[in-house]
Amino acid sequence: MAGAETMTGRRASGGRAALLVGLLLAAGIAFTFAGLATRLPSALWWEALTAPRAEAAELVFRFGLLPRLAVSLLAGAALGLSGALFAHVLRNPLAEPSTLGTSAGAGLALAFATLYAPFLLEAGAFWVTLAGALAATGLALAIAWRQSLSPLALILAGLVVGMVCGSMGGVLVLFEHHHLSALFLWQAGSLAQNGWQGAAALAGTLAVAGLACLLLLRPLAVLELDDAGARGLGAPVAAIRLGALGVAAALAAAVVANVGVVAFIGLAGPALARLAGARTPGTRLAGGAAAGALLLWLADQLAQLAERLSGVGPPTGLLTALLGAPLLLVLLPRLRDALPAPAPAETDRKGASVPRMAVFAAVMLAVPTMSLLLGRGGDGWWLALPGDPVLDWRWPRIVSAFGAGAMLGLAGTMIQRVSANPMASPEILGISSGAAAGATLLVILAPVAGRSGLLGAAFAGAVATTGLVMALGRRFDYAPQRLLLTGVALTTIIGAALGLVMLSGHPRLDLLLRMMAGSTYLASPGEAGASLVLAVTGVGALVLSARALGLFGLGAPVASSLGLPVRAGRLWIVALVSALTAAATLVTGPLSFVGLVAPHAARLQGFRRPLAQGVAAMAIGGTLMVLADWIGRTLAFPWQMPAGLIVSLAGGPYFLWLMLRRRA
Amino acid sequence: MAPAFRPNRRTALALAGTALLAPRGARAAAPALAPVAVMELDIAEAMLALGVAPLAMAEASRFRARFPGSRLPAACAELGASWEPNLERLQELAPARVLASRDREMLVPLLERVAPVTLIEPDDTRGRAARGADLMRRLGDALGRAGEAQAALAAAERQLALLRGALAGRDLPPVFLVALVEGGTHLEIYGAGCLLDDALRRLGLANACALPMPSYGWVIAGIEHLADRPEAAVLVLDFGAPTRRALAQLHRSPLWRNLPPVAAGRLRLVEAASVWGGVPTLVDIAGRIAGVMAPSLAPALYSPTGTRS
Repeated sequence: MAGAETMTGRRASGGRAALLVGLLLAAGIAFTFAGLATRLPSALWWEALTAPRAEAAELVFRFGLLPRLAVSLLAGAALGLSGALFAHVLRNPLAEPSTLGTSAGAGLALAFATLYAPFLLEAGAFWVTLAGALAATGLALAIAWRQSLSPLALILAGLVVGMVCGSMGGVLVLFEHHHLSALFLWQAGSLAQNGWQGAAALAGTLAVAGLACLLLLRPLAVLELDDAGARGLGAPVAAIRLGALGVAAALAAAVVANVGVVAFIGLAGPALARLAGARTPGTRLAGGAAAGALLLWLADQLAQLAERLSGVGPPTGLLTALLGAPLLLVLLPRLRDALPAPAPAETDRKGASVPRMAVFAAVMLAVPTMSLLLGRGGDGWWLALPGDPVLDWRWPRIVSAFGAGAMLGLAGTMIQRVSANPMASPEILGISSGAAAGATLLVILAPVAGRSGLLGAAFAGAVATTGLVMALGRRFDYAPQRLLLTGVALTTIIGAALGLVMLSGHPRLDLLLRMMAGSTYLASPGEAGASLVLAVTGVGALVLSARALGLFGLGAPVASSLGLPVRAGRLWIVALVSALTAAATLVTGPLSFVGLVAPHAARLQGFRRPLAQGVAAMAIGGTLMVLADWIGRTLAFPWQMPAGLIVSLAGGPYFLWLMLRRRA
Repeated sequence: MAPAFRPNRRTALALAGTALLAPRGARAAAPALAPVAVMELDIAEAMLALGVAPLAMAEASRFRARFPGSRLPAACAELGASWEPNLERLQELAPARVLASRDREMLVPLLERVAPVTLIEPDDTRGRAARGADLMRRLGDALGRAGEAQAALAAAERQLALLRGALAGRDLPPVFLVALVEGGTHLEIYGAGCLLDDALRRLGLANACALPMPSYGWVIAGIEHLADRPEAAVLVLDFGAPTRRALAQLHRSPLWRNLPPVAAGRLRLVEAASVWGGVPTLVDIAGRIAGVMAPSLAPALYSPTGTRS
């Protein structure tokens, strides 16, 4: 891009950027002075700093507001520098602590340590968050490694690592109500301070990291060449990369340890610096840090303003997530990716053989039977006989779990076929999150709405999200990886918005948690029947669209040349997928990953034609959910764990493993 | 930091009086099991105060942890989460009746398949304490123990009056009632709408918190809000280890150490009570608050550095 620009064009864009920076600075200064003055008259500022009295306002000014100001600048600079380092080393302008999963990993590690190993925190939260940050970043890098760290593959891997960390964090919240406030505050990134300790710690980390960057500056400039060129100059490319990545991860970890997860500053800061004309590694790093500081400072002042106006403000990290995730969507189409789209299907497997089919069928029959008959009671495990009244409780749950899993399996097969992308699924594309968001909105606006109301709201949410993903996808002609990225970015935005609802302490929080976790508990016989009817209808729709799905698998251009009305076909299938996902999400929750896992397992079993794969994916998805429901009913008896939660704890890591294993 | 209790004579007498009147702890035998399954913690608490124990209840383990004074018999069976009580287990136990609140409306058709469900629907328009009293009355009617309910409520009133009398005329400061949030920057502050605030009112104490409250009566807010009323006392609900950790973090904070109520040593720990309890919790927490507020007339017992000032 840079090379194509003329000198005048560059100067003009630099001028606009300078104007933007000037405006941001002016706004920041105005907000800050106004904010500080409402807490303490400016005539007293000097006194509060030099000879503080035990006046409340002066104390808050000196130990609360000023350190918070410093922390917003320091944490912003740390995130900006971290983002600039990641972007430079990985040659990927979207790489930064939140898109690589770094911050989410650090946050999860901190939550785990707080709940289960608080003694680890005595040596300082930094070491815990550093371990989490390194592990998550390492995982994202390892996944993208197979695809030569292709920019899109890397961001996709990072966002999914972040998503899985987030859903695990959600599980912790579900089981540890006691610590809810502390966990939410951490996950949401509150910048409130109670002294200068946090600022001092961040300043120390930033100073060490800055020094390391100075030392790395020349080697980093060498990385601007391609790897072979850099090696030709005698540079230890791998060592430089690892060193710089370590520094970047440590910066992000320090921020999480001191203020919590603050999203997207590492993306926006370096982007602003590039816009302002930073071209050399040195100016990019320094500019990224400065811009990051500016942006977080401004975001925090906004959060404080909201707090002054409404009494209780949104945590700053949640605000940056809401403001920053759309930026990701804007920057996405600009990302160049030389790599071809991934091959749509694996071809090295044998077709379905008779013994394999027999085993498959046996499992499909055995799991529901076991789930129906084997259970726990007050005296331990026992086997129910046909006719036992306990079966009246179990069968609606089993049937409704099966129906939901089958619908997701079918929706997953369809979306994978239509996008010619084996990694697509209702969960990854944000369709499930959209359904959950729709239902959540209804619970807030009309708490008494029944199940059919919820279903309608979930469908509306699913359709809206799918429509948005597709509309955004048109700009890059539905390129598979970009589509996934768009969906994951939407999921992130919806997740942040739902986090805000959770933080508001809504009285129907239990209902919301149930929806996020996914439970079959309320399944009535009628509802179970309806879900089965829906699934069967889905099979009918699958039969009707099997030919189209097969053609989509060849890619849109080929499909079109073979006479498929691509646009109409796409709309039809998208509507089907939305309906199936909405109905299933009410039972499974938004992050089950069944829609991803089931079509894969079906293909691994040798079912490769659209119709066969769809039906097999339904059987597998349904069986998976039935198994999860059984585990949930028996594992912690008499306590019950939501089936969707259990399936997502297995499904998320399976997805990562799948990505790790896959070749470009 | 061991608080040197120096109650004066009148306080000592009053507190001795409350100990004698205490409805729990003083009772000898554990209540007998009734063939009733209970879905809510507050219903179980009130039921135990009426001298009956449920056969089974949702979240029995949590109840035992949060309401240690209620002495739930070990024979009472666990039913799991109150939003998803285990129906198979419930059927196995075969209660004659299920007691639940309006919050379980969605579950009623399921529960009805095991036993008739009685929804106890106390009037919650006049605050948590009044709701608790109404709950006790309605539960008494439902269980055929209206007399016991009247007696328990009258005893509670007497005790609250006694505690209020013991504190009267002492010119006690307004009180912040808070729980610490780990991290050292935020607090849960309790205010109007919450049972703990009702306990303060019944004692004749003023709640120092002026923040706008949601209907359930508590907010998460920055620690600096404790400086809004420099003359106030701070009562910290003690949840054990998490509270100790949070206090250790706060000791490192200059803002915390310099907050007027903390700096002046007007901070006390109070054994935690559930905000979702009813009349027995109200009386319990009122007694504990009175217990820590009365000796607060003595010189500062608490100083942030851990040494007596």
